[in-house]
Amino acid sequence: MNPVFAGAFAIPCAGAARYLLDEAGWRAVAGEPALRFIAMWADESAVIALLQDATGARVMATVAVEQGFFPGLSLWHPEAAMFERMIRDLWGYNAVGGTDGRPLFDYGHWRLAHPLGRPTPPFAAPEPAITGFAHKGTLALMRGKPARVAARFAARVDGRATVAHAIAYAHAVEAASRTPAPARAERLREIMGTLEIAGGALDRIGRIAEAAGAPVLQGRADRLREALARAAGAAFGHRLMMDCVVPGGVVVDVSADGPGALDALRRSVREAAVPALVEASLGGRLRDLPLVAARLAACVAQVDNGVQELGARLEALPQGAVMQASLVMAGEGIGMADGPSGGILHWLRLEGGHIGGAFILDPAWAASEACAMEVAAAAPEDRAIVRAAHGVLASGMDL
Amino acid sequence: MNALWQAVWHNLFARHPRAVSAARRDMTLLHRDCGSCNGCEIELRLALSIAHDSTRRGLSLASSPQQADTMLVTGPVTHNTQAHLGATWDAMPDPKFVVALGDCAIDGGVFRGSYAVAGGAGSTLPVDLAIRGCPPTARQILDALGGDTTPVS
Repeated sequence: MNPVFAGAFAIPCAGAARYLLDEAGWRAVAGEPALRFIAMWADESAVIALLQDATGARVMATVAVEQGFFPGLSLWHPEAAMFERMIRDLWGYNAVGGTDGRPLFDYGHWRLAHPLGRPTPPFAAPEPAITGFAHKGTLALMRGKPARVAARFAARVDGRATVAHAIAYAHAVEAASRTPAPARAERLREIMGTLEIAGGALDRIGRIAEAAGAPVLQGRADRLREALARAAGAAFGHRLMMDCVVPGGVVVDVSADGPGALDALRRSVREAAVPALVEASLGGRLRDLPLVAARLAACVAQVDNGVQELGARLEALPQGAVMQASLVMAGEGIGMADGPSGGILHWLRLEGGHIGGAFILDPAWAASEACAMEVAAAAPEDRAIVRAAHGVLASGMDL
Repeated sequence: MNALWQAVWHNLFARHPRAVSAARRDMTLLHRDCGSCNGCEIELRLALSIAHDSTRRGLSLASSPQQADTMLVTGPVTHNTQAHLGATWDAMPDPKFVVALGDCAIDGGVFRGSYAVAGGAGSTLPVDLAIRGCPPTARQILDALGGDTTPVS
């Protein structure tokens, strides 16, 4: 434990240590170089910062919101500025000493302002939105719903990572209620997650090929993406495996046709010989774009590894139920999963089996700024490729 | 846009974009994501890719509103995108059509009723064709949009 948390009141949260700090303690955390800032959000009358210490462990610092104000972190951690803007738009809590006063999601078009705090009528005349186009009010829609119902919203934070978000959400509910999913369900989730990552990688290869003007590679990636969607549909009943993962387990076991369909997919991927084609069609073009080349290589590896392992994993599935009901109604927890664009984290608080508060950290929060900087630094003719390699889309961050 | 002309148009040529553009056997689609989770985009991208040979079906994507005859809306129309969507629609020449792609674009889907969501595409534009599904599959999208549906070998 980092010494800045010594003596602080610990709030029980499954998956991460959570401490309640006074203002002086919060500022000590802000200035502590051994703690890396990851994200920040709010709950009822409190702001929560998620940090990572030197050992890689996650720790949550909490400070009370007083009269609508809390001490901001953006002076110490520039990446906190976007979260402070979000907290003001959604909860109405203002960061004292915040470095960026612009709105992030709320441009005065909504039916009400501060939907997650104390809702008020819209605060200003509508102005053109610059960010937050895809803001759908997901967190407010989840709040007050039974955990199982709210899973539908978690599955629609980003459709390209619907399985990963559903897994992270389910893990958070299961941690909060201290009821792990059965082993067979957990293995099935891993298979679905791997398939989704391979699908996302194919999608990205296709987009990079399109941006780089490599139609043969693009066509082959798109055909494989379609084959993967069909195999997923045959095995789990939905081409994107949306709503297949829920708190407590999975709603579908692998179908009788599943192993055959996934094996056919494995053969198609092998026959397509994507790595050789990538080298032949883009090897020269990407020589001066090492970051894009590295991302593309990672995608190629994700496709190959992901699909090759599936057969063995299906055979190794443990027998038993795929669903485990929970009777625990209250608690707080963090859940994580790997998606096509990186790690996903869900935090939530259960109250009487319903969602009391939640936050969803999509990789787009970290990637959007990195992408913008890389695109700006790239030569004009390379920008489309750099953007395609990043694959940052708004929905995951806009909530 | 002349409201009377629009009303006459929509009453004369009910409802499928192909009803008019069948003579040309093609549709030029302008896709607008109005807050989609990107699920519909995955299926739309596959539908328009070589995997389904969409060019032979006479479907292509426009890069500007002036080239397009059909607006393809995905996602619930969020309040933050509503004004932009209307402006884009106004920039499209007549005759023009609206396709609501996916449950969210039809009525807001699971996001219906949110403070940030206006509803489906119908909240802002006159919808001609709705394609159900969350998301609709690439095949369902192509079947709904019509055109040459001989199987791709």
